[in-house]
Amino acid sequence: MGDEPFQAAWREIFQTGIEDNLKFTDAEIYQLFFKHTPTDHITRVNRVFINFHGGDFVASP
Amino acid sequence: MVLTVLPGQAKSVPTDYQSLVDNRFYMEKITEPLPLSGSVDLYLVRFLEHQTESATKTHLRSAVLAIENYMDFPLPVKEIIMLFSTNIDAGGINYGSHFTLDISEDGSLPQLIKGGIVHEITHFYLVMDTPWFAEGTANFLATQVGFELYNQEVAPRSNRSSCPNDVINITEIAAAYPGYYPRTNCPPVLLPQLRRENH
Repeated sequence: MGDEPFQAAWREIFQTGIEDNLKFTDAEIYQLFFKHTPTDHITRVNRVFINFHGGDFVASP
Repeated sequence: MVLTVLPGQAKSVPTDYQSLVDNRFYMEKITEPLPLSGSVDLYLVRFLEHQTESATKTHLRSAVLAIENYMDFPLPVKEIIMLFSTNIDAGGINYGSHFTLDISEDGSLPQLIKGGIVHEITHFYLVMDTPWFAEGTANFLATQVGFELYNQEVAPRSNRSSCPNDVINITEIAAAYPGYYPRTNCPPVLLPQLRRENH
């Protein structure tokens, strides 16, 4: 997904999580990365989650 | 400070426990200014005498700055207590109030870069209970900080402990371990892949 979108997602995950004292689920983590993924990279990002996570929450492109 | 260290070591290394009780240990302390959180107190506790200005302390000071910079969020603790000892499970454990590291990681570069200091500090940023994300982010940041500080690629250390053999994706892990579905029990893999899209 590239450095900048990745870092934006990363920072949102940690800042939101710590400020609001949240404990995210796997699906929520995926959604936060998905939210920052450039449109033309969605398919590839989904493939990474499918290959390396195996979660059944990955959205259809 | 000693009382916060005691619970972690009492069972695993009774001799170190006794040294703490008897006040027989060496401690370095420094207050490191940080741009977002103001400052953090760093304590390095050892049972063997060490140089006052140790390489480990220099690495630790640089690391907390780099970590806070990448996170873009204040370090969530005001003090970091590191205890170097032996018989440390997995090489290092963060107990919430302090963390332990194997004494072999109290050295010089490149041991420090590959070691667990950044990894264990990252565990203070706790936003998820499942291990794949906690360990994955800790390894990812250790790699990132190692590169930023020393311009060296660092092999995520959990490649050694968490990825069974040479498997590279969840399908292979499931095939190699039938009946055991780890759901990304190979934490260093997903996040770097996600950033780079090399898959």
